[in-house]
Parts: sequence; C-alpha cells; structure tokens
Amino acid sequence: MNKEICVIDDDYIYQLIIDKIIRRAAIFGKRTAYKNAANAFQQFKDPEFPLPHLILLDINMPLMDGWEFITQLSSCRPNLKDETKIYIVTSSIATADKLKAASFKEISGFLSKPLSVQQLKELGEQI
Amino acid sequence: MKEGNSRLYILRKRFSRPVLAGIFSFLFFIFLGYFLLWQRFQILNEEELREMSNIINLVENNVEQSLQNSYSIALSLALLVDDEGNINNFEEIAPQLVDGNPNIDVVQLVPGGIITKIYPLKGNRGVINYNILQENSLKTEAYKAIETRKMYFAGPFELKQGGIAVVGRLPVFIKNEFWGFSVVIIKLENLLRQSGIKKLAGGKYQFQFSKKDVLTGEEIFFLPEIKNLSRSHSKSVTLPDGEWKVYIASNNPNEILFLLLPIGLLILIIGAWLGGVIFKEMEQPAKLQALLKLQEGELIQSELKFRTIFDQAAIGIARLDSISGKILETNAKYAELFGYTADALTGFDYMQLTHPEDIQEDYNNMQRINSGEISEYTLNKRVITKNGEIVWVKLTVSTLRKNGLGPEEHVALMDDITEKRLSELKLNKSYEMVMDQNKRLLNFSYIVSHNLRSHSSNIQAILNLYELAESEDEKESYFQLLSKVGAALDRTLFDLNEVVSIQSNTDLIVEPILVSAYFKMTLELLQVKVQKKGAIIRQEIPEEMLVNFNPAYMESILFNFLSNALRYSDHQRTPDILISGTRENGNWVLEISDNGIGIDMDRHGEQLFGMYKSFTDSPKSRGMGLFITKNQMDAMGGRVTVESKVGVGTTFKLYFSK
Repeated sequence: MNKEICVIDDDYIYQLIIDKIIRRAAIFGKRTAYKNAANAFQQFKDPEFPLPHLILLDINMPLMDGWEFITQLSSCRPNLKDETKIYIVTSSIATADKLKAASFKEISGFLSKPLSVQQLKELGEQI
Repeated sequence: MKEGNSRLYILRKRFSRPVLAGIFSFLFFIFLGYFLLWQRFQILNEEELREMSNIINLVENNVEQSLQNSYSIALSLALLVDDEGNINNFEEIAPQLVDGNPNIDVVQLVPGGIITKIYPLKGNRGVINYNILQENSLKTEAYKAIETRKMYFAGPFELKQGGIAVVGRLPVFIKNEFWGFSVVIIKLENLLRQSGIKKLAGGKYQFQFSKKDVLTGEEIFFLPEIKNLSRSHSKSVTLPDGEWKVYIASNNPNEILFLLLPIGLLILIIGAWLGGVIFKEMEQPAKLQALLKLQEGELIQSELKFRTIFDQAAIGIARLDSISGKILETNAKYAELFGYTADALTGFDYMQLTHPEDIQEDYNNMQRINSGEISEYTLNKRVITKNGEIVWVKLTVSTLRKNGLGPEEHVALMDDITEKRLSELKLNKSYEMVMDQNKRLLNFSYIVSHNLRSHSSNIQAILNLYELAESEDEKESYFQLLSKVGAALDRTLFDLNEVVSIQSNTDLIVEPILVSAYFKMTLELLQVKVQKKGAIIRQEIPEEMLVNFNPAYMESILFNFLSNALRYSDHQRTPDILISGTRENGNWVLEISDNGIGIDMDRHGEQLFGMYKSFTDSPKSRGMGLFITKNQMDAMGGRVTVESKVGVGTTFKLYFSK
C-alpha cells in the first residue's frame, strides 16, 4: 500500500470522480492531484523530487498541455521512463492523439475516459 | 516590285565595275606586254638583219679578194706572153701559180680564142685547141671582155671538160692588138668555199648565188632554190666583176616569232590572270557593299516591322533609361494604360507612376538589373493612372542596350491584369476564408467531441461508481456529482450554441456604429472592475469613427477585449489601457493596448483564438472570449491581429472592413 499515484487534469469534476475511483481501487497508499500540468511540472522538474509510481495525465489543459509536460519533464529528468509510468487519460478518442502518444517513449499507455476501478487496479498491480 | 528592280539595278551597277576593271587591266597588260614584245621582236629582227648584212659584206669581201687574186694570177700569166706573142715558160710558171694559189683551179692561155696552154692538163686535155670565140654560149662574154679590155668573169657554167666553174678572161693586147686571153678558172665549189659563206651562215641561213645572163639579162641562180628569197629577211649584194649577186636569207624566217610566241602566250595568260585577280579583288568589296545594301534594306524592313509591332502591340511597351529610370519612349498602349497620350509620358520617372507600396520591390529589381545580377524580371505591381486610379499590371523588364559597364536602356512591357489580379485577390481571400473556416470547423468538431465526451465519460464513471456504492450517503454524493456534470454540460452546450449562432448567422443586421459611443457604454459596464483594479483607461477614439457592424457583436467585442485587458493585468504595475482608432488605407482600425502580463506568442500564438484555449490557470479563463470575438470579427468581414510580449503587455488590432 505504499504505491503513489498522481492525477493531472483540469476537469475538477473528473478530479472528484477519479479520487473516488482510486479510493475504491484501494491499491495506492498515496495520491496527489494537479489541476494543471504547469504546477505539476514546477514540482517534478527538481531531479531530487521523488516521482509518484503512476501518473495519469490529461492532454488538453490550459497553460501547459500533456505533451508539453512530458517534453519539458524528460529534458529535466532524462530517465523519466524508468522513474515513473505515465498514462494518458483523456476524453479524446481522436486517432491523431493516440498516434502522438505512441510516439513518446515516456508514455506507457493511452486510456480513454472513463477509467474503471478494475482498470486502475490492473495498472496499480503492474507497478 | 519597284524596289526589287532598283535593288537589282544597284547590284548590276556594283558588279559592272569589277568586270570593267578586270577587262581594262587585262587589255592594258596585254597591250603593254605586246608592245614590249614588239620592241623585242624589232630588236631581234634588226639584229638578224645586221648579222646577215655582216655576213654578206664578208662574203663580198672574200669573193672580191678571191677575184682580185685571180686577176693577179691572170696578169702574171699574161706576162708569159712576150711582145711577139710567144708563150714562154708556161710549163714552169703555171704549176707555181696554180699550186701556190689554192683559190684557183685551172689556168689557160688562149691566143686568138684557141685554148693552147692549160694547167693542169689532167682532166682538161679535151679542151686543147678548142676555140671559145666560135662557141655561141661563150663568145658573148668573151667578146665583152675584149670590148671592155678588162678582165671579165664568165659563168659559172658547165665546163666542156666537166664541172661548174667561173672563168675569168683577161684580154691580152700586144701593141694595142688583141692577142688572146689569159684565163683563170675557179670551180664554183672552190669560189663558194673561198667566200666563206657556208661557214659564216652556218645552219642558220640559206644563201643563193646568181648572175645576170649576158644574153637575156635574166638572173640565173646557181644553187638549189631557196625559199622566200623575196622576204625582207634576205640580203643581197652585187659584185661588179661579172654582175653577180649573193643572197642570204634566214633558214627559219619565223624563228623569232616562234621564239616570242610562248612569251606572247604567257603575257596572254598573265593578262587574263591579272584581269581575273583584279576582277575578284574589286568584286569582293563590291559584293560586300551589295550585301551591306541588302542588309541595310532588311534592317529597314525589320525596323519597320518592329516599329509596327511596337506601335500596334496590345501590351504597353516603353524604353527606359537604366540609370535615371526615366521613360524615353512609349507606345500608344503604354500611354493609354496610364490615361496619357503617347508622348506625354516621355521624361516621367517610373517611380512616379508606381504605387508607393510597390516602388521598393520594383526599385530593388532595377538595382539587381543594373548591377548585372539579373538580366530581366517580371513583377506584378500597381501603377497610378493620370486620374489616380490603381491599375494592376504585369511588368516585364529586360535589358535592351548595354555599354561596357552595364545596362544603358531597358524595355518595360506592361500588361493590364487588374481584372485578373482583382479576381485573384478575391479568390485568394475566399480560399483563405474557406481554409480558415475549414480549420475552425475541424477545431470545432474536435472541441465538441472532446468536451461533450468529457461530460459523458464523467457521467459514465459516476454511474459505475454508483453501482459499486456501499452506502446511501455515498450514492447521494454521486447524485451531487451528477448534477455538477449536468451544469457543466449545460454550460458547454450554451457555448457551442453561441458559436454556432455566430458562424451560421448570415443575415445579421449591420448598421453604422459610432465606436466611441459603444465604447462609453462598455466602460460603464466594467466601471466597477476598473475602479477595483485602479486602471487607467485612455480613450483616443475619433468622434467620426463610424464602422458598419452588428451592434450586439460590437458590444460583445468591446466588452471582451476590455475585460481581458483588466483581467490579465500585471499586479506589479497600474493597469494602463489605451484604446485608439486610426485609419489605414481608408479603413478603420481599433487598437486595444495594455501593459498586462502578456502572452507567450511563441507558445500560444497559434492557439490564441482557439476555442477553449486558455493560457492561465484562472478558473474564469475558459478559452471562449477571444474565440468568440474573432468569430464575430470574421463574420463582419474584419480581422484581428495581436502583438504581445510576456511581462510587457498586449496589443490587439481590429481591422474593420468598409
């Protein structure tokens, strides 16, 4: 139960929902949430800062979108892929977004909302 | 046709000169050559005559000498006769005389005409006691000697004893009474030998020996007849002793002619060659001149052709001075394009006629031509006509004439492409519009799917959680969440409706709007915010700024920009917002300038006017304001531009269409 999850999404309703799903999954000991990627980046860019085991990242966000977040972060933390697992979780079902996600080696998977409790459990078990 | 004939005439005239020169020089050379040849011929002829004359003289001398000798011998022989008429010592003296004088062959003493003594006797014995005075063929000459009392040489004739010989009879008188003859006989062969004629003449000349017949007075020839004795080349001499004649004639009277004939032929050939050469030499420049004349004619023709093309061309053509850029000449079409008469444009600078916005590009190209970087260029530009109208032209400039350093003259071709250009611009504009709309449509559909899906996925997730709920309280909390989703969905649908209504509304009311009045209204609406922020609002909208716009859109746009400028102000300084109206190319431009936080144009420039694109984490910033204002401007045929710098401020410019 010492696994840590982080949710980066600007949709505050989704934040409420995912909070409940995480609780329900009961696999993560610690959880954090950011309503925009820029705030998360401010924290994560310090290489000393321990990254959560799992990051659920939205694409469309103001100030900094999901793509930019990964690009910026991987330039600060070259071993980003080994430090954490990043999943894109978005309401988008556009193929272009899926293909773009596949081009990032730091991205472990592309998931469309809504995320079910079962899916989250499986993600947590993989860690 | 007439021209063709006169050209032919010129050709003939030009060509006749070398022919005449050729013939003349040929004749001149021939005349000169043959004159010299004639002189030469005369000299050779005279030389020959002189030579013949010399030979004759020598022969004459020799013969005379020989006869003189014979006379002496005859005299010596006569001395053998004493006063009584007796012959003494003949047998002793005669051999001495004959043998000592090879030029005589036989001596005789003929007293009373009867051959008494003869030496040598051998071969002559038959004539002893022969009476010559009784012989008809001899007596005439014999009597002539008696008559003249001088030695007379008879013959040559056939001797009785045989052989042809000359007989010299010296009449001997004792006491004035004829005694007889002392005779010397010289064989003709011997006489000829003595004359040396054969030796002298060599093979070159023929000769003849003649004597006048005493009886008939006829000339008797003693040698085989020679040809052409009467020719001027023959030379004769008369020997008084016996009236003999010696002729000499050239063996080959035409020798000199034959000798000179090759030279004559050579002269003819050289003359012909010279004539030919002179003809050729003269013909070359004449030909060139003829060619020049021909080309000159063609040049005039071509000049005429090009002049006609220049004058009648359906496009404007002008010659320009490369350095000054001044027009040297234009055709009618060029002037017509500008609304001038043909000559009126001469001296104009091309820049005077060019639209101010296009001068720089045209000038740059001219500089490149002048520096030799390019030799021609084509440009679409605007020109200003006499009436101030703008005409779009397709301009092609190329170098016409060069000096050593660079171009001197240019030719400018101008084609009126106003209609084409205008429809092109229109087409471009509609293409851009369509592309823009298409882009917005794609963006819109993405937004719609994304935003609506985000709500639907939230509902789905809540329902999933609801099913797993273990308590009534928990279920209740999901209902509360659901109602929040419903509100958010409603908001989204409202936004979408607004966007659709702007984009689909094609028959909006458009009326002249006094911008300053509308701005005043907007400022009143935002008065509280302005005071709260302590912002300075500077309004520089001209009173006369009237634009055709939809009133609701104008309110919305002014409200959006002003509220944005207030919302995104920088906390560290007093917000200073300037709203000004200016004219650009006759169209109104509204400028909203603030000293707010600014926008990172590199990061967000492209998305700035996109739907749901917000660049702050303020919950009030939903990414709808700029999206809607841009759509409203587009719907009214205007456009929006932005300039911004983070930490300095942002300036939006609204361009209104007429």
